[in-house]
Amino acid sequence: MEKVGIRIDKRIHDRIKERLKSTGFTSVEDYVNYVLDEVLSSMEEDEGEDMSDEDQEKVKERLRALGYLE
Amino acid sequence: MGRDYITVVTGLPRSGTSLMMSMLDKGGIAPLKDDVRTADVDNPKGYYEFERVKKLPGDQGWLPEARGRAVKVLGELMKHLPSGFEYRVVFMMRDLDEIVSSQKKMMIRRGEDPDVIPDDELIRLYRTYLKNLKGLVNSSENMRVAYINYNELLSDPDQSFEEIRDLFDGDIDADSMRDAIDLSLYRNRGG
Repeated sequence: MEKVGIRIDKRIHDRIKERLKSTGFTSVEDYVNYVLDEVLSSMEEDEGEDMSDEDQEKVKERLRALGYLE
Repeated sequence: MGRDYITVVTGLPRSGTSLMMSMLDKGGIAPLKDDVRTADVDNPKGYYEFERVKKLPGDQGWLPEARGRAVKVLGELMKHLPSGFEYRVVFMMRDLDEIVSSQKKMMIRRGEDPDVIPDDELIRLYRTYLKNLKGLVNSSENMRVAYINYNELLSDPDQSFEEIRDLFDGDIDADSMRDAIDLSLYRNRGG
């Protein structure tokens, strides 16, 4: 998977490094990836997303074409 | 069996809602259907639809008749189910690539252009659409829901049966439900 570099506070980096000892992770990078992925997935699950009127109409049009909606 | 709630089977078209309706029928929950839309190559065992559902929210007069029975309600119409009833919802999920592929075959048979919306865009739309629909169902105090994955239902039915049993507090014949699964039919048609 393609990766990009970002910078984080050394203080956070050190806290993560300390935490690694009690996890199965062997690198700060892997741990940060995991945590961010979990947090974002959770947020995406919880948040409803607004669909534009245009997008909603596209879905409805599809349902009509399939015969499921009048 | 004395069920005073309405069993609702919902999801996107081609997510296995008709299969679930037939399973519930075998399991002891009679379907509310009118057979206006008859069986065809897309649904060889019938659609299990009740046309008046499509008239929601204007026509709600059929809802008392649905108590104790199972009715198929398209996801789009779930928001129109009125309060004043208790609903047990079987929410069918399926791999979105499979749903889109199956819908396209159906549209071709119906003489519709299946490529009006590119597949990638449609999957993106459906993903958001389903997320919002789940939010609606989860936040409705008069709805209890079981999310059943069509793919898992076919590959490992026991887990799905357990979730369905829980939804109905055990008041369903899960062993008979198994009889509704025609694996050759569902596997061979790939949609």
